[in-house]
Amino acid sequence: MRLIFEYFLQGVRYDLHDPYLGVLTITTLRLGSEATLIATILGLPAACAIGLGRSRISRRSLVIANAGLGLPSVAVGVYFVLLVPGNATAPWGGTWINGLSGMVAAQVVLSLPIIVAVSAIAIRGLPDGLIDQAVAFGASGWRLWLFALREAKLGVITAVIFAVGAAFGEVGAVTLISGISNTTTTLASQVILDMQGTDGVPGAVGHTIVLLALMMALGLILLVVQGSGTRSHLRDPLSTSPRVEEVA
Amino acid sequence: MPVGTHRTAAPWHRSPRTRLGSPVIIPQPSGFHAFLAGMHEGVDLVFSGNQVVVDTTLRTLRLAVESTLIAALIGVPFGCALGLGRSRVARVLLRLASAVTRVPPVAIGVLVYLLLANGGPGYGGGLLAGLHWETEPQGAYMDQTLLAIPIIVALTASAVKGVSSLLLDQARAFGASGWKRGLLALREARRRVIAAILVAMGVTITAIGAIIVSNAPLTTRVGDHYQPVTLAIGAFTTFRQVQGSTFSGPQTAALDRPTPSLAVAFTIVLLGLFVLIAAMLTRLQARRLSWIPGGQS
Repeated sequence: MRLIFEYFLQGVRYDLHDPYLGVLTITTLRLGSEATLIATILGLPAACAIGLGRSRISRRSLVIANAGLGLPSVAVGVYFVLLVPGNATAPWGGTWINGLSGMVAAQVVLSLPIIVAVSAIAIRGLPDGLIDQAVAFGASGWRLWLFALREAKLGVITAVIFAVGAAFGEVGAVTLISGISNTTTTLASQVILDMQGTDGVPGAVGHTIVLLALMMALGLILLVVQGSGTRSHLRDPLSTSPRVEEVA
Repeated sequence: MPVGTHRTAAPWHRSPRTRLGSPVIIPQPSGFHAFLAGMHEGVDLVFSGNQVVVDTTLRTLRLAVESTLIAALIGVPFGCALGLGRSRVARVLLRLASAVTRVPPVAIGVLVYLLLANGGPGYGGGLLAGLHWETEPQGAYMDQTLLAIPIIVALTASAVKGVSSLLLDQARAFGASGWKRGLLALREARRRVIAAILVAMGVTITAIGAIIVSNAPLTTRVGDHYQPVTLAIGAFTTFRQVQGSTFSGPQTAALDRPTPSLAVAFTIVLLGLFVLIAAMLTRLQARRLSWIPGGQS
């Protein structure tokens, strides 16, 4: 216990004197937010189609998305580096390999199943009558999708927060794609670099503390969102939509 | 085939520089052709039954199965109790378990390191330093077990919650004890409990962060050469060592030298295991089952 306490103090002390902590945190936040943003833009339409569809194809797709949650990130990283030529520039600037763009692109692949699966399950859990009513009132196409997303917004927010959290903690793909430089190292991959050499245990503990603080902030957001959602759920006793805890 | 027979004859084994110091420009396949060539070599390594790939696969499966079993022994009863419990404490603990599910593996690795560390000058070792596992392979087992426990607890609890409360109340009315009711609930929810264990096994197969960060060795000595402890670790470390080089070299040389084709072979087996687990989960019809990898790496 003494050791853990001692290293905790050393970690905090390390953080207070770490000139790169800001850069690392900003890189982590950028990776999480950019990857999740792109994955959300790509994934939500798919989630709507899968969640609202009743065909065999949509059911199959949900199973595939669910399975995709376990995608080995190391494999994604390896194939990404092999397939993307090193000097190619990303559409939004920077290079693919040894740069933030490539990390974001790989993380999009890993985040997409999370967004699609969790949102689609939330939409699927909406009461049938609700969607039927919307259809009866003439909603169709993108209006129906927007309606379903608004009704299932708790699940969508949960999906987004999960995706951000996954990006924060990701090391497999990200470390393979990013070279070693201050602008492409996230907190999680810095922990690996610390333990492998230069900064040793205090640095690793310090960066882990910051990483866990970020995850806790995400958990807090989730708690607040779910709390407000549960209250509105209680207000409407006729609604049978599943609570987010069941979805997640 | 004897190990490393062609090693000295391998053309790529030569130094890339001549004695005069000017780099030798060897024409290499580039771009997509290089990728296809490497894939071909990787597939060859897998299907020719390369010793390193086979051994590493078996080692990975052993690590995954054993650590998942230990985690299941701890996590299933705990998750069952939390799922059936109606007290406030049970609900808080359940929330905590599902929150711990999302703790990144590197943080678990740091925790394991601190638990097993022999300690520095001035302060004693970690809580479990007495085990002397600091640089032992058992550390990897501990990492993966700690990763798997919260997943099994959270998913078992949600599986048990899905059992109709009518049935459990009936059992209570017939005088079934708490133990009996727990077993009944587990039997009713067995499909989803098995799914939970499979999900945890997927994580223990693919996660690398914890093993790399805790002081567990990344390679293990087999005969006269070293092999990676798991497929994912192998793909990661091998690929990092050779990053930038192109595909080349005979297969046998892969035994004691990192080559990209070896990394590709590892990832092919890894993806195969992933597809296998996904197929089993689909067979269990765990359609409502959603899980979040704790950082997934």
